[in-house]
Amino acid sequence: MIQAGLGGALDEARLRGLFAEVYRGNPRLQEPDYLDWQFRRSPWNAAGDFTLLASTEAGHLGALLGYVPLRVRAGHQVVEGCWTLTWHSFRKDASALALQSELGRRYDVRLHVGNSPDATRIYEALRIPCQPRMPRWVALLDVTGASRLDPAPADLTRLREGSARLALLESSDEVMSLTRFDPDREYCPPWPAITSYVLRTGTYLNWRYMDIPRHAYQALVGPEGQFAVFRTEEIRGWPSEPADAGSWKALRILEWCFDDAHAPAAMAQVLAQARLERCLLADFFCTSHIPGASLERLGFVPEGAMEKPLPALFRPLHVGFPYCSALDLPPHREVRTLDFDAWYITKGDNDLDRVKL
Amino acid sequence: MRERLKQILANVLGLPVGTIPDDAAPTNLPEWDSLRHLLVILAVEEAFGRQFPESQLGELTSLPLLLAALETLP
Repeated sequence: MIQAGLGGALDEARLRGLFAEVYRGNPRLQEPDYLDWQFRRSPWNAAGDFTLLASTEAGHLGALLGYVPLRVRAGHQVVEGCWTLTWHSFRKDASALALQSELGRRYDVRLHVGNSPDATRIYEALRIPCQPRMPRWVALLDVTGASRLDPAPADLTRLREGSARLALLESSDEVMSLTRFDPDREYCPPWPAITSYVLRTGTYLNWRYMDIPRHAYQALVGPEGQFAVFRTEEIRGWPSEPADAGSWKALRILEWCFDDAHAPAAMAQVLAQARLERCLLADFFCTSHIPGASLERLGFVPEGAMEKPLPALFRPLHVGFPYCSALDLPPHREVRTLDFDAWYITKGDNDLDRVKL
Repeated sequence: MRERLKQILANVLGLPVGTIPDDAAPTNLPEWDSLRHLLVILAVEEAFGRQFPESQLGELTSLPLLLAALETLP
């Protein structure tokens, strides 16, 4: 039997216990206010019930699938869709797949981002277009600490050159920091070639970045609604612990939607904050190469062109997960091609940027 | 059709065809997990030249259910 939301054998306390068992490195998933934010308070969850499907049989749980309802701009139309998250099978049968089928009855567009290898194999078998690794752009912000990241020599040269260019950027009064997005405004990527993305209304952005418990995001906005969102994160878990390890941070840029006219000023403001917090490196992940190209013009380096990836996880230091994206739009179950460059999906989408232990 | 389905199950699950019972399902064949279930479906579709509706994929969880679904497909 498939049930939607909590109820019966699956109450909130049991759900937290299951998450504690399955997602041990994700303490946020055991916190009632975080679960409330993730599964109940998202802007297009009109019913206000937990957006969760569970497969049960005689009181025993077979599988779980969480989702977040969305509006997706896909080309010239806006359609209902969802992110899938916390997909887990407790049994070796088809109950997890049955939950995906059920979700397919509810949403024609499903965005699966940050998939496990098992999930990726299933999506590939269903002929869903997959991008195996979300492209990443990196920048070195403090050349004195570069050796701690152990870059390849050729990469270090490029990173140093970029760092010198980033240091020359100047801020402008046209780019402002803000604490709330305008709920009546839609914020759009400024590049005409990007036609598809999760609709970023001010209400959505406030929910995603400003109302999320215990995550400290900062935002900038330009004169025509260009915007960026970023946070800083303490770097922990160095292979050999330097004496000042605790004081280094990484700058994570989750949204970058500034056109070339305003990008230098916006980045100058982001970097001013990063310097205050002693950030060693910055990064940005996006399915499309177009925003990354904008960052390259400022001094970022595409990781795909580097000899060796820089760490992407800092607790502990690790090159990290590839963040496979599978975007399932109709016609389902047919071989489809998808232009991932037209899709603005970032590490701010879905639950990829959930702070872990 | 039943014997052909048994052969497909045996191939996908890596079992001798003689060990596939008439009521084969994940409950009596531990090798039949989520991923292999999907591979079973795709192999059946390819062998019979038909495609099941997406909404049925998670429900065709036994040899009898697969047989019934194949017989009702146009």
